[in-house]
Amino acid sequence: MSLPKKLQDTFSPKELQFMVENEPIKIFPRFTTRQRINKHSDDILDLYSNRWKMITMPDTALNNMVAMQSTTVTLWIALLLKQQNKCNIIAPEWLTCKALDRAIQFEQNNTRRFSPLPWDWLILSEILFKKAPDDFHDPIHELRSRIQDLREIRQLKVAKGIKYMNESHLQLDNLSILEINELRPFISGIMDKLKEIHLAAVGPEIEGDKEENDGEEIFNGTLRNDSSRQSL
Amino acid sequence: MSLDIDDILAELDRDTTVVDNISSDNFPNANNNRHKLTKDYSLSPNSSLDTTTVPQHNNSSSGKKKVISSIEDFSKLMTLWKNERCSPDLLPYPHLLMKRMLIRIQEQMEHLEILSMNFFEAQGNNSSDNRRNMSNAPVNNNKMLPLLCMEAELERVKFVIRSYLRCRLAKIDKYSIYLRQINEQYLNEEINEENDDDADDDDKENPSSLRISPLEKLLSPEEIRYHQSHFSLLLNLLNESVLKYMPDELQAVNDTEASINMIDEPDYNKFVFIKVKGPPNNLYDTDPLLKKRTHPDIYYYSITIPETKEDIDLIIGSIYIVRYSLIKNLLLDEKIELL
Amino acid sequence: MGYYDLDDILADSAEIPCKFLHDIPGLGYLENNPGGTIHVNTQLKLPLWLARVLAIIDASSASDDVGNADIFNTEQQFTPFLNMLTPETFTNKVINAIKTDPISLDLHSINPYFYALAIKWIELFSDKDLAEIVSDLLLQRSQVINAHANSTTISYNNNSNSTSSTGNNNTTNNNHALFTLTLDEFEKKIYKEANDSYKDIKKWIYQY
Repeated sequence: MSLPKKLQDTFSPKELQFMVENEPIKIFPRFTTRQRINKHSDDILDLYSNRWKMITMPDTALNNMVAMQSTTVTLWIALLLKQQNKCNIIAPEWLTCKALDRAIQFEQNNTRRFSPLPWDWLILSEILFKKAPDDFHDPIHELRSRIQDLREIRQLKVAKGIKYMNESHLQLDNLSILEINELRPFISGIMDKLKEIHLAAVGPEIEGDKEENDGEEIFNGTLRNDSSRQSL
Repeated sequence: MSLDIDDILAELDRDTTVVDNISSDNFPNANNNRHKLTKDYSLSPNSSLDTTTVPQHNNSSSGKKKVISSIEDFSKLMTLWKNERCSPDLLPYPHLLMKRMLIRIQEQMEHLEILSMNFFEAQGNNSSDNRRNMSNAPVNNNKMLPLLCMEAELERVKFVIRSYLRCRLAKIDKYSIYLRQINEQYLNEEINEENDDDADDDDKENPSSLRISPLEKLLSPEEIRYHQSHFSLLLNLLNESVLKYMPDELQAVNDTEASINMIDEPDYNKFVFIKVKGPPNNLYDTDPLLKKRTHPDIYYYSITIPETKEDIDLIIGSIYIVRYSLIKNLLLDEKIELL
Repeated sequence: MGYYDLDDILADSAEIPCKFLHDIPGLGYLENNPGGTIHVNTQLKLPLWLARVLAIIDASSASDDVGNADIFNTEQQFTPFLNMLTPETFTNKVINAIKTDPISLDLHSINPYFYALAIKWIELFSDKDLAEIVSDLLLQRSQVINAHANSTTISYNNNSNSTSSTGNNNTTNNNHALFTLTLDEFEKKIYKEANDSYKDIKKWIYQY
C-alpha cells in the first residue's frame, strides 16, 4: 500500500507534531549571526557557509540574529538551536499559569464552548515541556497540571456534547488539531451513520439537474448517494 | 523523483510571467502571524527565472508581474497535503506548484552540495561520511549550523511531498476503475459534441490548449501513467484469475444490470472537519458567495442540505463538521480548509 | 456501502418472514416440498436479498411477458409475488426494549448487523418512525461507546480526578470486553477506531 490504512483520512500524532513544528516561535538566540559587511573579506567560506538560505521560511531573521535579542523563527529550528544550547525559547503568552488559569475559568463558565486556545496548544505545550523545560518562568509541574486539567475539562465537555451529533452538521469552534484528530474517527463515523439512516428514510436526494452536468460531477462533488437503489 | 530540469525551467519561465492561477499569488496564509515578513526570494543567479523575478513585497502592488515566493508555495503545499489527506476523493494535482517545488529542491540540493564541499575542503575533511556522522553529534561550530538546518529543511519538504504523493497514489489505487470510468464517460461525450464550443473556459492552466480530460486535470502525467498501468494490472488479474472462467455475460467488471454499483466510488457525502478561511487575499467585497450579518459583523458562506433544505451558515474563522459534497467547491476555491 | 462490503452482504442475508400472494408452481422446495407448489398465503422466511426482489417485481407483468400490452395497462393493480412482514429484529417487543433501555441492550444478540439491516428496512418502507428510533438508539449508545473507547488505557480516567487506577485494571478491561460483546458490528468498528485513536494520542503524549 502506498499509504498505510491507518493514515488514510487522518493524521498520526507525529504528523500533527510536524505541522506544529512549522509554526513561528520567539527565541533568545545565544549567538550572533548578523554580519558586518566586509568588502575586503576574502574568506568565501565565511560568506557562504555561515548564511541561512531557506526555502520554507523567511531566513532574514536567521541571518540577523543578535545574541540575547529576541527574534522569531520556525519552531523546529528553535528546537534544533535549543538542543545545541544556542537559544532559549520564549514560551507563548498563553502558556503561563496565569493565562492557563483564565482558560480553565473560561472552560468552567462556558459549558458549550471551548476557550480560544491556539489550534496547537496541546502539542506545543507537550513539546516545550519536553524540549525546553528550563525556559519557563512558572514551575513546570504547575503548568503541566493546568494543561492536564484543561484537557480533562474539555474532554468531558466533548463527552457531553456528543449527544448533539446529527445528520446535518456540527460547529466546533476552538477545538484544537489534536482534539479534532482524536475525535475524528468517532464523530465522523457516527455522524456518517446517522446521515445514512436519515437519507434512507427521506429517500434519495433530490435529483435536480443531475443529467446536465454529469461530466462535471467529479469536480463539483455533487454525486448523489447511491440513488440507484430501488425503494417501495 | 526524476525531473527534466530544462523542460521544467522552460515551462516555468513562461508560467511565471503571468500571475499564477493555481496558487494565487497571495495565498491566504493559514498562519497569519507566521510569515508576516515575506522573504525576498530570488532563485540562484544563473537560473533562467531570474530575469523575470520581481522581488516581492508585503503590499504587492497589483498589475505587476509577481513570482510566487517559496514560502508561499510551501505553505500552500502543506494545505494541499492536509486537504488531500482529509478528502474522500482525489483533488486536482497542483502542476505548477509542484514543478516550482521540485526545482527549488533541486537547486537547494546543489547549493548545499557546493557549500558542504567548500566547507569540508576548508576543514581538511573530504569525505561526506564525516558530515553524516556530525549531524547527530552536537555542533560546536556555528558555521555548521546553517548547513545542518538547510539539510533538515530539505528533508522536511521531501517528507511532505512524499506523503502527499503517497496519499494520492493510495486513492488512485482505490478508485482505479472509477477514475477510468469517468474519463471514458468524458471522452465519449467529447466525441458526441465535437463542435460544441463552450464559452466558459476555466482551464486556467493552459488556456490555449484543447479542453483537458478529467484525468489530465486531476492527475500529474506521472500519475496518469501509474494509473494506466495499475488499471491494466488490476484488469489482468481479474481476468486471469476469475473472469475468463465465467460465462461471457458475467465477465463485465461493472454489471450495470444489478441494483448496486459494482465500482467503488469516493463517498462524497462523508463528514469532514473544515475550517472556514474566507476568500483568498481577503477580497471580502468581491466574493459573490460571501454573506454578511451586522452587529457584530459576521461574514459567512451559506450551504444547503439538499434533502431537508436546511441552510447552514459557515462563519469565517469557525470550525465545522459537514458533508464533503456541500463544501467541495469552497475547498477548490481555497475558501475553506480541511482539518 | 460498496458492492464488496462483506458486512453489507451479511446483513442482506437476514431472514425476513414473507407471505406469498400467488400460487407458485415448482417453488415448493423453499418449504421442504421439492417439486410442489407454494400456495397463496404461505408464510416463509427468506433472506432479505431474495425477498426484496420478489416484493418489488410486479408478478403480473413478469408473468405475461408481453412487451407492449403492459405499457398502456397502468391501471392494473401492482401485485408483487410476496409481501415482507416485519422481521424479528423490528418487532414491537424489540422496539420497546430499545426504547426502555438503549444503553444496556445487547444489540449484538438482537442482530449483529442491526444498523445495516435497519437502514435497508427503513429505505424499503420509507419508515421514518423506525429511522428516528434507530438514530436515537445510536446516539444514546455512542456516548457509552465513546466513554469506553477513551478509558481503556491506564494513563488517566476522564470522569474522576484520581489519576491512579491501580489494581482494578483487570476488572475494567473485563468490563470493556463484556461491553464490546453487546455491540453490533458497526458499533464494534467505531469502538475500535475510536479506541485506537485515543490510544495513539495518549501514547504520543506519554512519550513526551
